[in-house]
Amino acid sequence: MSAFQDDYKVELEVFEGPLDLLLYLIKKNEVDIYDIPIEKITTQYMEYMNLMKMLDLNIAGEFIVMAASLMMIKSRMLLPVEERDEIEEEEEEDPRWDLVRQLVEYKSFKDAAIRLEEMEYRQENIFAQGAGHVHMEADGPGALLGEISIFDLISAFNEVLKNARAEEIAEIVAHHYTVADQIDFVLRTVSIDKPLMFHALFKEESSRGEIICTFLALLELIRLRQILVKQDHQFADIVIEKNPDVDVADVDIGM
Amino acid sequence: MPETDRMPDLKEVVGALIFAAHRSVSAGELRKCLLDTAEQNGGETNAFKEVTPSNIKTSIAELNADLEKNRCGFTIGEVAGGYRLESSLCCGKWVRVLLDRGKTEKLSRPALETMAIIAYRQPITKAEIEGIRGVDITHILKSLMEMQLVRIVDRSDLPGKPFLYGTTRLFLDHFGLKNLQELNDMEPMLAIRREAEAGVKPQEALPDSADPKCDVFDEDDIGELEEMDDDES
Repeated sequence: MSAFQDDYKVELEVFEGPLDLLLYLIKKNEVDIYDIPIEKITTQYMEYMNLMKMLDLNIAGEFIVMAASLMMIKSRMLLPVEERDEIEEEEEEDPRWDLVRQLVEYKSFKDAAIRLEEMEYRQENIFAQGAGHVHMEADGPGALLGEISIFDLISAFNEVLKNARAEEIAEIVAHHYTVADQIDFVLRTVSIDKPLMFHALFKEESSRGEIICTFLALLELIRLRQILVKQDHQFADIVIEKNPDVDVADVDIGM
Repeated sequence: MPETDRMPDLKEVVGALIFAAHRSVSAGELRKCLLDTAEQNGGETNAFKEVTPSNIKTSIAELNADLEKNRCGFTIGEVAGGYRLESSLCCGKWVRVLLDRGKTEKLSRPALETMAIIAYRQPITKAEIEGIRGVDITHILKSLMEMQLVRIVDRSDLPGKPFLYGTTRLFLDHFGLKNLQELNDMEPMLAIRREAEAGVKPQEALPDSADPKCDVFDEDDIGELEEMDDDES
């Protein structure tokens, strides 16, 4: 994919980890956290990991460690119970158990975080004498994305990519897309009074190269806080809006 | 009788002190002030010599009932172990414009999750937080420290003596919490598990405080925070 990125390198740090991705997939598939269909979830996990690699996101090594653990659990689940006992005599519990325990614990902290978010929002509208004020960095992890998780975006991207027209073998297409061009394109398409559906950004005849560049442009614009992405509820369609707080004249994407 | 000679009731005095303090004052400080005044002035101010912290709490509750009944636009809030005047939640929009605060600032979900883990499991090492989140948190931890929501509280006895992280007074302030105990009331599941773990591994508890989650900041903390405030201004 490097051909698309020669001129404009998108550096995106992913602050979500493998457990976030697993919880996302569990929720998306509406499966029981205590009875994870390991084969299905592993396949989807690998699919998302490949997409993140394709986009050249800075994914953490922990994603690869988790992929290995999932594979191991999957292979142990495939063994008949009697054989499994022979191999590990002392340990008869479900091979998924360690992972489930970790997921459940993390989930409870995620829920606690949502409570904190509500309190933070409430407190933002109360002004007190002598109250401390937290200064957030504009581009620190304090402010990225907000409501929507990176996996929501990747999921939407995946759907568009699946519908992309197959590359024609006979023809050499000279059209060369760059992330920089697509940033211009997205900024021209999205206006303040006219929110845009995520899928509307991608034409039916778009090639994979174009889709990837457009998506990277979108991620970069989110990072630069030029646009906002919203969802009514999780797994709903993603809506793209221009950030009303940013003046178009200020756009400096460092090209 | 001129107004200066009128003898106020406790509720009025407490209200005046909280109004004039321009910062958050604890029940202990209010009580000390009443005792000191009686000592210095004697006479009728002796009426408040026997005041207990619970008298003060009752006065504040009465004041709040009055303020709310009359819709004054502000109440007395209890945050981080102290009392202070706070504007009403519903009036936030207008105050925001007056103070030129712009739109609300929020922490991202990954930052909030890290914050929650530190808040419920403090004191905790970076490696333990990463174990729960399953991902490197160097960036997030650094910015939470820069925002002064998290601080180093101690060093662990584990090999390498890693830092132990905990929350600051500003954390309570930012989220509008009275004390850390309030967190446990919010998520009893997390609090109970914490105690169960502490029971199994008592050596992990902080040596200087038997129950770190109930730790309402001591004088050192307040001193530290005041220093930090001075640096900023």
